[in-house]
This record gives sequence, C-alpha cells and structure tokens, in this order.
Amino acid sequence: MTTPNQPTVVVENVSKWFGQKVAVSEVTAQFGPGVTGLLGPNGAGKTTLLRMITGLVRPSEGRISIEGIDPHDNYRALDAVGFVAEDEAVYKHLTARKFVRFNAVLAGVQDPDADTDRVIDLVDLQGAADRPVGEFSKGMRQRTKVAAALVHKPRVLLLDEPLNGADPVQRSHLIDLFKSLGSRGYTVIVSSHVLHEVERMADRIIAITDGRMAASGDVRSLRALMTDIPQTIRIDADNPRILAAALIGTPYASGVRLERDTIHVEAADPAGLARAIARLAKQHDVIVTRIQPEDESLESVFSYLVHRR
Amino acid sequence: MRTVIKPGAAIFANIFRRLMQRRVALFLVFATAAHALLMLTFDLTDRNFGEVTVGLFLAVALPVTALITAGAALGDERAENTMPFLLVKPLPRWVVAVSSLLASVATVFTVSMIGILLAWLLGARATGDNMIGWPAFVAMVIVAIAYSAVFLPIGLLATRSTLIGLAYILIWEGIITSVVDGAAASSIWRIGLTAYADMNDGLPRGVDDLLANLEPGVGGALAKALVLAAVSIGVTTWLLRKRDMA
Repeated sequence: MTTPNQPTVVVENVSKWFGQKVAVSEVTAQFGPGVTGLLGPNGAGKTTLLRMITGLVRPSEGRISIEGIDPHDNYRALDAVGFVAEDEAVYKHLTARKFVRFNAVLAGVQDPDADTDRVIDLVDLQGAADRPVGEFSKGMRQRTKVAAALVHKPRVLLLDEPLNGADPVQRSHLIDLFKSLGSRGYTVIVSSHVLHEVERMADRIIAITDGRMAASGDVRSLRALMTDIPQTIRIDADNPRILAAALIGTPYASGVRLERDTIHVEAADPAGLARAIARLAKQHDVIVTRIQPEDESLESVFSYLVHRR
Repeated sequence: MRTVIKPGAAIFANIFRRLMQRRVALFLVFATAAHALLMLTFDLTDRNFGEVTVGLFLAVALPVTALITAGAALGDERAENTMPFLLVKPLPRWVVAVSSLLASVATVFTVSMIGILLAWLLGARATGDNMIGWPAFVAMVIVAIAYSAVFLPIGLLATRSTLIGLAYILIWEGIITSVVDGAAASSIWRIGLTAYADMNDGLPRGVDDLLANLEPGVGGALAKALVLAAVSIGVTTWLLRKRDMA
C-alpha cells in the first residue's frame, strides 16, 4: 500500500517495441490521486502504455509498479486496478448485469450482487441492466465496461478512450463521474485524443507523441513551458486602433492584428505585454474591456507540442 | 483455494456458454452424430458398430470437434479482445488455464452426447448388449481431454489454430502416423483408440490396423491424457503470464 503522498502508479523508463516498431520509448511518469489525462494522437502509444500498466503487455525495458507491486510479477497488484479498454469488446451473450457480476466474481468481491447493483446505478444503466450487452449501442457498452471496471472498488482506474461512442449526455455524466472519483482519491488515468474532453476532466495532462512523453503538467503550465512560441492575446478596447498602434512599438508584441474592434497580439513575453497594455492604455486614454489568451486550449497546446517535435 | 473456486467456476461457465452458443456448435453436434445416423441405414452387428464408431466417430468427428472447440476456448477471447476481462483481475493465471481446459472438455462432451447416446441406443437394440456404447463414451472423454490439452495453448498463440489442427489431423495423424513405424505413439486420437480397443478386447477386423503398434489400455490412455492436460495447464499459464495479451 502507498501513503497519500506517494504515487500510486509508477512508470520508470519504460519502453516497448513490437519487432522493429517502437510503440513506447523511455517513458517515466508517476500517477497519484486525481485525474490524469493521457493525450496524444492515434498511434502515439497511449494504449500500449495503459496495457503495460495493467500487465497485459510486458515492457521491453523499464519497470512499472502499482502501489509498489509489479503487476507483471504479482497478480495481486491488479486488486487495485479497474480497466476500461478502448475497443467495444464485451461478452455479447451476457446481460449488462451478468457481465458486471462476472467481473465482480473474478475480482473476488464479497457480495457481487450488491456491488453490481451499486455500479449499475452509478453509470445510470438501471433500465437496460437485464438486456444482453450485444444489443447495446457503443455508448451503453462503454458505460457497462466502466461499471465492470468499478465493481470491485479499485483504487486505480485506467480508462482508454472511455467516452468513445457516448452521446453528449452520457459523456457529460461520465466526465462528472471520473472527476468525482478523482476528487475522492482515486487515481484515474484517462487516455483520449478528444482534447476538450481531457481538458474538462483532467487535473494533469501527459502529452504523448510517437511513443515519447512530450510534456506533462496542467494546461496552463504546459503552455507556459513553451516560451519560444508566441501566445496570441485578444484585447478588447474602446479605441483599439490607437492601442494597436502603440503596441506595435513595444518589444513584447511580435505581431499585432486588428479585426473590427478586437486586437490580436502575438506575445513573445505575455507578462511583459500585460504590463505594457496597462501602461499604454493609461498613456493613450484607452479603456481596455477584456484581455484573454486565445490559444490556451488543450488543442492549441497539443498542436504546438506535436509540431515542435 | 476457496478464493479461486468461484472465479474459476465463473470463467468455466462463461467460456462453456460462449462455445456452445457458436453456430459451429450445431455443426459439431451433427458431425459427432453422423456415425449414429449412418447406423440407421443398415443392419447393425457388433462388428459394423465398432467399424463405424472407430472409423467415423473416434478417428474423424471427435478430433475435429475437440480441436475446433479447444482452439476457440481462449483463442476467441483473444480474437474478440475480451482477454482483459479475465486477466486484469487479482487472479492467478493458472485458474484461467484450468477453467478454459475444463470448459473445452465439457463442450466436447456435451456436443458429442447426442451422437454417443443415439449410437448406444441403436447398438444396444440391435445386439442386445446394453454396454455397447460404454467404450466409445470413455474414449470420447479421453480424446476430449487430450485434444483440448494440445489445442488450448495453440489457440492462444495462433490465430489459425483450426487450420493448423486440421492439417495436423489430416497429414500427421491421418497419413504419417499410419505409415511411419513408431509415429503412432504421437497420435492424439489413438490415445482414445487404445482405451476403446482395451474395453472391446481389440478393434473390429476392418479397422484393426489403425492401432498400429500401440498396446490397448484404458489406464495408460487416461494417464497420457492427464499428463497432456497438466503440461497444457503449465504452458497456457506461462503464455498468459509472459506473452503480450493485447
């Protein structure tokens, strides 16, 4: 067992290659309570990394531990783990209730029926629980798999593209569920290429491209790391032309563009630009109504990271 | 031990049900009943009952049934990406191996029962020997164990385990073991045949050469099948632990 300050899942210098193809290369990361988003395009190595943590795939090099135990050497490490795989695979002949109960029995749950009912409520599947999973939509299958992963109250939840196929209401429900689990001390690792969803649920992000860790941190800190890439700042003001002309002469703005009443500034030094805006606005008697970073979304952060490599 | 019985039983039940619900299971029921249906077309005697049972059921239908079933027991889990439901669990992997093997044997047993019982009934009515079907039943259990033991790990490793198995049955067991001295000992279905021959005091004259140089014996046949099963569980457990199950 780990103490609250210790990481729950530790990935140390892990690589995995399949023949000549390198799927994951020298990844080192630690995961603790809260939601961590694994972000990367398809084929980046997210699924391989998650499957190595579950013990399904052995690392070619490096070491993985869950609560201090290597899942490849000791199956007891998996007592802490709930896993939702990316694909739609389910036992189609089972009803959702039987499917979840099957997972409960395999995980050694004391009262499989009670825990099955609990998680079926949690993912809002009560009305469909006695229908065969083979009849379900993709989104309902995903919810069934989430229920099955949660049935033994795991402390680590590994979710590989868990929102695939879910409709907007279901997505919102699942995102709230994952955030709630993260805030209750679960270690939740979610992989996704749907950037705004990761942004909504993850406290921390690990960006992976070409099997390597490109960056980690929250969106804001990732963006701040990229000091060599200008940030775009949107400025609304009552007299934007005067302010735009004044900004062109400062060293903080590498580019200024005016669209109607809005100024878009490429800022090499955002902090310096913020100070300059205040000074110039006062000097030219301009009222600034809004200053907002335009590209701090995860999508633009990730785009920068991918293209920078 | 109690902590693995319930999960083991759940895995057994799930794989058994999945194997029985495949469309091919219905074909296998007919295949293993073909010899019994053939018996409806002529006057049965002790001799031709034995010839048909050995030549059609034990030598052809049963091996094909066992290899198709055993290859799919874990092979389908892998092909259909349901392996994580079995393996990402705090459960020793040998439990998965044992449960799969038992499910495979039980499936072969179940799909073969109609053919076995029908042939038994027809044979008993024609000859007055109420135990006439017993040797085929025992041979069926032994062959089911032996084939399942061999094809369980092959199904896990190879995506075309059925083709590999059919090639093995047709080329190795059907041709090579019949013409190469000493090769009959490596023939899986002949393990069952030795048990059948022992319980019938030899094989019927038309098929007696199938036994080659093997000594009849139920005990030896069962022992061989159980050794194969133990090796199979060991190999399958090792594969489940050491191979990537992505």
